[in-house]
Amino acid sequence: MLKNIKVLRTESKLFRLFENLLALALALLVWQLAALKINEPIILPTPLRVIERFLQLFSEGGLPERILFSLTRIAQGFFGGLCVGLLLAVLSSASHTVEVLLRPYLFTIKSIPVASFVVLALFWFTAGPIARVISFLMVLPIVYTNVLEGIKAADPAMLEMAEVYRMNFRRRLVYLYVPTVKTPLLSACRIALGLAWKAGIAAEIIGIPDGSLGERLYLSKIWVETDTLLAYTLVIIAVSLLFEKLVLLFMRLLFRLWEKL
Amino acid sequence: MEENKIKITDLSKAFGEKQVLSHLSLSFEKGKISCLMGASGSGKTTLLRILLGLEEADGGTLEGIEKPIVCLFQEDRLFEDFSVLTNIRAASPKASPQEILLHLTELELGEELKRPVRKLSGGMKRRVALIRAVLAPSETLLLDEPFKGLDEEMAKKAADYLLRHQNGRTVLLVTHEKKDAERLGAKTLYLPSPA
Repeated sequence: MLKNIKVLRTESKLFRLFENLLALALALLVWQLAALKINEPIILPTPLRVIERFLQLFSEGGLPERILFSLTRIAQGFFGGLCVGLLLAVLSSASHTVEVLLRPYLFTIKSIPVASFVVLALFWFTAGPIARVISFLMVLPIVYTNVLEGIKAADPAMLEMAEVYRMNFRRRLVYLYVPTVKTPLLSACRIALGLAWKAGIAAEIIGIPDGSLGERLYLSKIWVETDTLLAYTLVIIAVSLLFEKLVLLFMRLLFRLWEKL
Repeated sequence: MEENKIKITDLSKAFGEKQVLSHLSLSFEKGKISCLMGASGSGKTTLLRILLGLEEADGGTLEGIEKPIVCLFQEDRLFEDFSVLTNIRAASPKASPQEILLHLTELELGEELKRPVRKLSGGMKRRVALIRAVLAPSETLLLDEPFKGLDEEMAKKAADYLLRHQNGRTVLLVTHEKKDAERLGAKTLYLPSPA
């Protein structure tokens, strides 16, 4: 019975993969036909041309440096936002006053458009750390809100049990709150990772720090290189997806180790 | 007041319109096992919650109850993602793994020490929750349906285990089953049926 279920699951996974690949192939075909119809590579290059350009990027030199430049800054912003968001959520859960006092700051961060923040950040800092600052600001409220809601959703029955057995804050944190926030934290990270990349690269396009991926996208616009723009977009998608998968895998491993405490 | 008794006098508790306990008075012996019986809705669990300090009574007095008080709740309330050992040590940090293993072995859970609780059966979880309550430092032990979900043979083993490890503590056990009181040789107290 179990074996049958496993086989069915594997089959359904394979089927889903097949479905997705088919949909992708059709989308590429539509793109190819549209590009051929328009016949204007500056407006819309063919997917084959973009892939060709994408492969050329690797032999041109400078690509790994650009990836490293943007990746390190966005990663620093992400992990900074994650740590500060976690810390503030824990403090807010422990003190209603802290939660109330933090509300205006978080409301401001959530409400102000990214572009305004980028310009402000350019006034306050140099262009170099712009992606770091913007990624941090994108990640912080998402992590804070999800984790705080997760802590507040802790099972009251389990909290009573912890009270009766006189468990101190450390034990409550380890055994009760961390498992409770696991799911909201992972989903917050999934959303925040995507946003950190999108906002981080957008900030680089506005701030144009030397040697960044955003700068290269900006140059593509100036030089009207649509194929290069799309090839670099492919690079960004690949790097951000890989980064997202690695971070989530690392976090799941951490939670698994935590449960073995 | 009698020195060796825990005395509940004129205790009342209502939740909104619903009167759960009405002028309840009863007493039970310190250092002994007593069973509290009553129909569903008679306020057994509410009384335990008042004794634990988790609910406040609307009126009446409690005298002679010794702290710390530990409770085996009607639900197991275990940390599902963590091992049996971790669950017990979270409540009794001073208990050594060897001591915990001995207790687990007494209730046929010796093999489950490092197993995550979520992988245990309902009866196994109940036994883990019972061991956690027994091992936790306390002067008073409140047990709400401790043998729920255990088969006849295991319920008897759990009762014997409880008797072996009572260690002079006051135990108040809430149950629907008269035979639970008989197994433990405990005095039975009855709560009046709800109006």
